[in-house]
Amino acid sequence: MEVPNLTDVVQALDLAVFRRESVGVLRLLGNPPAWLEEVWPSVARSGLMDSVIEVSPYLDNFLIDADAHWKSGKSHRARSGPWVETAADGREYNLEASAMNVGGVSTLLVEDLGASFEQRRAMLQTARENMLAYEKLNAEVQRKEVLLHCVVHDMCSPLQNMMMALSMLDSEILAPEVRGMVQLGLQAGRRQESMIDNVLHMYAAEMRAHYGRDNGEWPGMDLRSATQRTIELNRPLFAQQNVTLAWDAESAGSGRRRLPGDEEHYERVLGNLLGNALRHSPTGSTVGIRFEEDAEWITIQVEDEGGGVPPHLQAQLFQKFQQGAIGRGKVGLGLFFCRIIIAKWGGEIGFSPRSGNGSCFWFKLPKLPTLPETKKPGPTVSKS
Amino acid sequence: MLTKKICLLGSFSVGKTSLVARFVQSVFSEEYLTTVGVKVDKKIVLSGDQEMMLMIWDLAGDDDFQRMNLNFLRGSAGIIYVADGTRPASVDAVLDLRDRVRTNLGDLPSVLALNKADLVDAWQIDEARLAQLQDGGWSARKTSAKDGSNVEETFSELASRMLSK
Repeated sequence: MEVPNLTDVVQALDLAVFRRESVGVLRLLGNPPAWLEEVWPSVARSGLMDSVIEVSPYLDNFLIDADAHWKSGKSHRARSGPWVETAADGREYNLEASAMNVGGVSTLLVEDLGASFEQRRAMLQTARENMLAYEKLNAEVQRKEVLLHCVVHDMCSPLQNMMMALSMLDSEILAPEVRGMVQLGLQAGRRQESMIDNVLHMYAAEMRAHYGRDNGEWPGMDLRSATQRTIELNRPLFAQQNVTLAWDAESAGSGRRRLPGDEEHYERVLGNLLGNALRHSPTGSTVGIRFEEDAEWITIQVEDEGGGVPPHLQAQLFQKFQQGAIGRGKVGLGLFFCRIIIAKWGGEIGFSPRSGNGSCFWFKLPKLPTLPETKKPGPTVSKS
Repeated sequence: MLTKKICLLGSFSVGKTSLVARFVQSVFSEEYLTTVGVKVDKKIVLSGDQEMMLMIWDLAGDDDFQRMNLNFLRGSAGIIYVADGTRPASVDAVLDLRDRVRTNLGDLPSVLALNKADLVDAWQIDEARLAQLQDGGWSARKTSAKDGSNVEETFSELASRMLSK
């Protein structure tokens, strides 16, 4: 069988093959490929590259890595990665060099990547253009959301005017049936105010979660007081539906704890979970709040005795605009709000079915390491 | 003549290649052609009385598809970080790149080009953000490879910073 001549193989592959003679000096082996005569004509003519930095700063930089590779005696190729050289006529060549140890000879192969480079570039170009299109789409969606939430915010002004007018009417002497109508109007107004407030809070929290940066200096939380305030706020609603709200205050510990987050948002999260539990609780049942704690986490659980969450809804429970069974939720933002707040704090939120009946919604917060106390903490800011 | 190697670093499609083309050849193309690998250009500049040859390394944009090889920065005397003023995420990318460069090469003279300043309607970096960057130690200026604004100034500022180091 005829064995091909190595020089012919190298020529067929369009490779420039160099032998390292000394530091920064390369000798061309065999005939120069056509592209070498275009890119480095002096090297093609003399067969010597004795001042690599002048010929190609990129190749000169690679020779530092190549020298280390040759010294190591390793048999695999060390590649330079692609780079561009410009010929005298302005044409650009995409080259790549490989350092190899071939039979004890420090060898450098340089190849013109040609069509394979263009394919690689085209793939990368497509991927990056897609990323740019995605970024633009996201920016557009964000702009529209800001606009929408400005509109929602602006809805507050006329509503407040109406509420003020109704409040003034309510303070007048009115026929009972008229007062009833005025109070109905006030009640509806308050509900709408609360809904707008929820939407705006949720949006602000979402924006902070996605784009905000925290400095990690949390004020700490007094879980017991914050939980007590949330319970007091919700107790009338529970009483109205004859649902018992039970909790073990001792299990929440006492005093300010080093936890991520702030009490205002903690109360909104807990309030959302309590409201959710109440909506799904039958008359005469109990909703319980339980705290569990280990070395790293504090877990807060809200348990109800309702009908539970159907399996097909469980996976999407914490998504935006998801409502619970038989559409008892409001607009489906409450649990989504809870999720982004807890995630922002580095915690977790979830749902577990209870044995028997009912659901357990829980969230856990990571305990922060205790710092040496330098000053007394300020007073707890309570929500009005 | 004094020779200094400088590198342009930044996310993809922020206009690094266009800035070099504007600075070296005074040309601009609207077409986006992603850079793969490295291209080295040269230009002689005058900084004060000092003539200096800049070896300008235009490195491919750094992203998940193509990570920057820190070996390319070996021997650099200065860095031009480039962000796209219409894409705030590209500014965050530059902050990350600076951290990586500092970790591996220490503090090098650098400037920040907030490019595409000609896209006024799409511009996202407000004066407060610019002031914040300057407070954070950045020498930052708005540039446009398209109309040439502040391109010479950015390279000159880096040249002067390299000389005074």
